[in-house]
Amino acid sequence: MSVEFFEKERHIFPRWRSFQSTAGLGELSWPSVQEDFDTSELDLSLANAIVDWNADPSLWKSLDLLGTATVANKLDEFAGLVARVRDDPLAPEAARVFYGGSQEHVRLGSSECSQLSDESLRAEVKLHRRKVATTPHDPVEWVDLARAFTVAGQNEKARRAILAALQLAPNNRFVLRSAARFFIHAGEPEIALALLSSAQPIKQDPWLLASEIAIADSLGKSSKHIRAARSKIEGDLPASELTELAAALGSLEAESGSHRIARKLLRRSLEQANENSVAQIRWLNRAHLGEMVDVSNVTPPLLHEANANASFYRGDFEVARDEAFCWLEDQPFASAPAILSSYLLAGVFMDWEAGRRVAERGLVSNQEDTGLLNNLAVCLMELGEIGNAEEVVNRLKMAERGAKPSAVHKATYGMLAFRKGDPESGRRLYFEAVEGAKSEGLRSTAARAAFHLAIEELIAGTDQSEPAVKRISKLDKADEFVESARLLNRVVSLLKMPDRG
Amino acid sequence: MGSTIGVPSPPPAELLEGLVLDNGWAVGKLIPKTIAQTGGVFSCSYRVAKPDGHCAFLKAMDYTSALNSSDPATALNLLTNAFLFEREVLQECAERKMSRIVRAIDGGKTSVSGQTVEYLIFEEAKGGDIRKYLDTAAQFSLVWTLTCIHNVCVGVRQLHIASIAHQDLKPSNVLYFPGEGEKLGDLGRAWHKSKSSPHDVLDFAGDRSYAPPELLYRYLDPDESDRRFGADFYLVGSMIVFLFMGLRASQILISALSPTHHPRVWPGTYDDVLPYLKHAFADNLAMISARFPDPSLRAEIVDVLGQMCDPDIRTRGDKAHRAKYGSRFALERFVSRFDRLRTAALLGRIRHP
Repeated sequence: MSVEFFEKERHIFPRWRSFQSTAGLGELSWPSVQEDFDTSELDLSLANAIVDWNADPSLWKSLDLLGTATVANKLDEFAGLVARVRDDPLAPEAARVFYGGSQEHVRLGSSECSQLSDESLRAEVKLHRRKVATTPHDPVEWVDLARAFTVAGQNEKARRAILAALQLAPNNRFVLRSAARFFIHAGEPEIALALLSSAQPIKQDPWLLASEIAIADSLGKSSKHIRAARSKIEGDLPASELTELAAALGSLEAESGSHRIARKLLRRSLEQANENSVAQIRWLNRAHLGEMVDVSNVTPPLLHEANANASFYRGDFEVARDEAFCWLEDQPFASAPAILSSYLLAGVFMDWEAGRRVAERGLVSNQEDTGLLNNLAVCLMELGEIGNAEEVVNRLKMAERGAKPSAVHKATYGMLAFRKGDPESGRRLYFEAVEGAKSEGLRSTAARAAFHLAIEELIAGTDQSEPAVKRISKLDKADEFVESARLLNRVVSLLKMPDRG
Repeated sequence: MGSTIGVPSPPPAELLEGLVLDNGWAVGKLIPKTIAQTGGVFSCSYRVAKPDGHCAFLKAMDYTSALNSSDPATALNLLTNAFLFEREVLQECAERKMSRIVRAIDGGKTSVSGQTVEYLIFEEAKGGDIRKYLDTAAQFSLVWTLTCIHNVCVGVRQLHIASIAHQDLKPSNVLYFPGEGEKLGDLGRAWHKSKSSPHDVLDFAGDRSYAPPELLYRYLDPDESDRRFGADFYLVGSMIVFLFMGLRASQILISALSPTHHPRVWPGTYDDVLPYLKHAFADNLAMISARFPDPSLRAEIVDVLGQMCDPDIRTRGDKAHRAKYGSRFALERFVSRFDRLRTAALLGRIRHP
């Protein structure tokens, strides 16, 4: 089973949520360019409307006054009149509905609730297609359509929708960040970088700067906007607008070994952090900083990735599984939450059927993702569907594109050999996996492979079962991994099987 | 005895009640006036009547408000010019026989407390404004609503043909004349392409709470004609929303936005917020569409509002007909469209519950 993804690297790439959710989280509130503005004329309009209404407080004058109050952003001061209009049977139905609760703005879009069934995927695509057909000049709707296509695995259609949005709103933060995330997903981070680097508002917009720096870093490049980013951090923008930028700059410092500066920037990021920043800082703590930045008191909305990983490393697998599911629902096109979810379901809880469903769902959006193919192959083997598993393993080999298989994949190939009745080949592949992992310094991965070899030997009932079990009993503390107790239980229960005497 | 110390006397324009003017009009009660108007123009209104019972509406310019301002000379100049401008525009409307514009039937000046008060007298709308009509109507009438929209379109079109933009089209300025239908009143905020007015310095002289989105977000289209006629075009659409739904276009647009994108909160540019306005507008059209059970009426209204209330001034209007009518904000097609619709409603071919 694959957990290698979240042990590697992480960058603070932009999240891609529906427009409604992104706006609801306040990530589109502060524009790149600020203006001095005076809206006192609206107060004058409202004062005049009140005088007019006082002279004759009739229904239609009430409706007119409430219209002015809405535009003047003072509707809250007219709760009594709103209630009267709402309850007046002579008021137009549209107005009664409007004042009856249409003011709820911050809510998760439908796309965040349940995108995991094929039916809801189709419905989501259909909904946004219809909307785009009605209002083809709405760039936000094109982005939401692109997201629905991406989740459904239709990247070419998603690309066309993203390009349409970019044409309509080439300087808009939501469009640019969504487009960048799409191109990363589509395996074209260079396009994402070029798009952001050349965006007109890049130097003014901390959200675009953060994404651009992160993408450049992921490509091993240095952003050409670092200076602008540093001066932005020193500026007087609200902390909530700078969280991702501070995290992006802090990541660069942490990776280059400047831990003191990194910690300072990351603490700045935490002043009003979003979940992406917290997830990034938790990863930096694990990978570079040795838990030096305390994130325990920071709980922004949708903190699922950070919670899933933290719970996993703590060994709190039930919480990790639930959080991973929420993460997957939040970012349904992303492979990482699907990999973690399928691993937890299958590798930890041994619910092979559920693990298979999640891996298959993840593969809809990420057809060549090796981690998901690996996990699906394992689930299919455990379910006894060896033929199907072999097909998936062949897809996995194709997806490797001639590269040397990772230790995890080698182990999976070994498992397939065992299940096909060829323990010698299987054993050899597992040994190669163990040695390969050790040579890369991945002792926990080597230990996992050793456990799985013992399990396969026991299931196959070979004469090499005892040496394999002895091998895992010799593993020391440095080889430990969080779910080792679960695998050990499985080994013990296999040892107790009656046909083993 | 003079005025009580500390309590200023009312301005002469507010002291006309009970007077009989030189042209025979007896001035009735002062109509409660609003607090102030954009641009520092002050006026007050009365009902007036002739001995034969002919009633009308008098608008008197309040010059003392200007004299009490911080810059009296400028304010007085502004007020005088505004009055002259309105009078000239009304004269032009009369000469062009604009049937859907409230007519100025008289005018002049009178002396009160030793000061001159200039005034205009307008034909009286016995039905009041359309809000009053709607308050007294027993139930919604599709025929009346479509006829009213048609009349509003005709009125605005009559102005536009004369290169005049109304700028302050709102329910209180659409007056109901029993037997004649609706006419547009109050040209005090108007813009004339070839006549200068003190309001020309304002990006929008009308009631700001009705202003189209580009002006709420402080964007000025570089083409002044497009800016002014585009605003009127939007206001006609907003009137349609009001008549069918009791709401206004900017109101439902704003309500579909994130609170941080409200024009009073958003510190950025119009172009920055425009993608969100377009998205909210798409939601608006879907919501409006759901309000019209009759599919033919639904298609017509959604199409009309899609053109008229588009929050993007650069795509608002009907570009396809620009060549024919000279402007994408031309109302000719809408006049004939609502004429056709009201006829269809009269014949019972379209219905709305």
